[in-house]
Amino acid sequence: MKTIEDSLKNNLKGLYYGNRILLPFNCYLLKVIIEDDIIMDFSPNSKSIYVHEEDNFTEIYFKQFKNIKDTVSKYETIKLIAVEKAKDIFNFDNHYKLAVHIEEEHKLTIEKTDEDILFIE
Amino acid sequence: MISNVIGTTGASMLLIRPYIKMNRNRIKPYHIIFFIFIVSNVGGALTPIGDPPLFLGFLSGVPFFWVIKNVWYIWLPALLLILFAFYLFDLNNKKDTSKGIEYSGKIQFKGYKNLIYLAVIIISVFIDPVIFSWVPNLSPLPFGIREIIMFAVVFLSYKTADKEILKDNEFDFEPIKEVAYLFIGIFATMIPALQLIAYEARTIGDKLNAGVFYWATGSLSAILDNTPTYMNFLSAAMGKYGLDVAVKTHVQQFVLVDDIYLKAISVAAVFFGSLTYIGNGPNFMVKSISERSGIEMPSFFTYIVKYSLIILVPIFTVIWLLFFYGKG
Repeated sequence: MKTIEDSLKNNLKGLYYGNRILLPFNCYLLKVIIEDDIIMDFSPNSKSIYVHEEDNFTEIYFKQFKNIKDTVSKYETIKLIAVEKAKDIFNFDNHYKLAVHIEEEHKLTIEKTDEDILFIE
Repeated sequence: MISNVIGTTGASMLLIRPYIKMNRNRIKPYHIIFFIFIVSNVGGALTPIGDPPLFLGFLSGVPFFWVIKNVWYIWLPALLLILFAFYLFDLNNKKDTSKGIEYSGKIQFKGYKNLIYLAVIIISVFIDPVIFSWVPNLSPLPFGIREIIMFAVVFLSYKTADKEILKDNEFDFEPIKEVAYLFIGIFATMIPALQLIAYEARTIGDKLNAGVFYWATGSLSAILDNTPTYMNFLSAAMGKYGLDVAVKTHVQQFVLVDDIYLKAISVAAVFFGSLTYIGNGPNFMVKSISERSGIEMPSFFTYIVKYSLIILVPIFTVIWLLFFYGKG
């Protein structure tokens, strides 16, 4: 199982294909913001999102979009609030606020949101 | 105040991000909603640059400084009442704002060159054949010299912008596109409604008092576009005196004869734009930017029921009672 902390430390890239992104870590997701959609329903019946986990990565399908690249501009980000597996989800200090940048060749850059990116938990 | 210098749209776009950042540890939807009330609408009632209907009034012959001279004493209590309502809402927000924040005590401003672009945009607002005879009229083209200058500035500003700043601001054309699509829809569907207003205003205009002009202009500005609504009611009010809105000297004469109608129409067209998300262009843009920052904004109807009807309608009623009730 890969952790968020390791991925950030090693600057691991994610991937995207169509409406699907692959994050190089395992996590609990609390909130996802793409465009002006604030997604908090991660149940199997969610109309917005489907999350699937493998041993070393997490894949997310954004059901309302055909292609992530057409949806998120080069200056925009997908934002996530995520918690490491096995960490206390109820402790706000464990909440990672992550910004996911879309790049060329299906690559995703993942970073902790800095001061300048507006992101309200 | 800034809304009156760079317009409600300009002020909204300039200030919404710093405003969210300043309040980031305690921000709630009501912060954004009061921002829409004040910065995106009511605040901009003092100058023709503030809001498009006032600008069209200016182009039609209303003197530039007429608005500030005659509307400030209506604008001020309206603004203070909204600020007081905001204060009451904010009293209940007890969240500790100091946690985890270290203030540098510095105010930093990035992208100074854009101030030049901004100044050009503001100056270009006045480059109109109606104001200056030396400005060429490009008719029958659907745009003029002003629009060419504005688009050129927009293009230059975007092309020469610091990419890091665009990234930090998460710049995107989506909010403006959203507003454009919405207003194309509104403009396409409001024609019959406007024709009906124009007809009714012509036929029963002379029986209407300032209060009716205030409520009618306001309520229609909240759901249609406020600029044509303003012009139709201005036309109706002038019709009471046998004056024609299309004649500049008539408008100037109307301002001198009896300006209670113009005051009612002017404040209503600007103030009531805050009643709905579609009442004024920046409302939707502010909503969109806030949602992209993770703030869950109320739906169209929740905004009206939970905020507009409870906060704004009583305030607008007070304004009506104080300034327009039984007049005209």
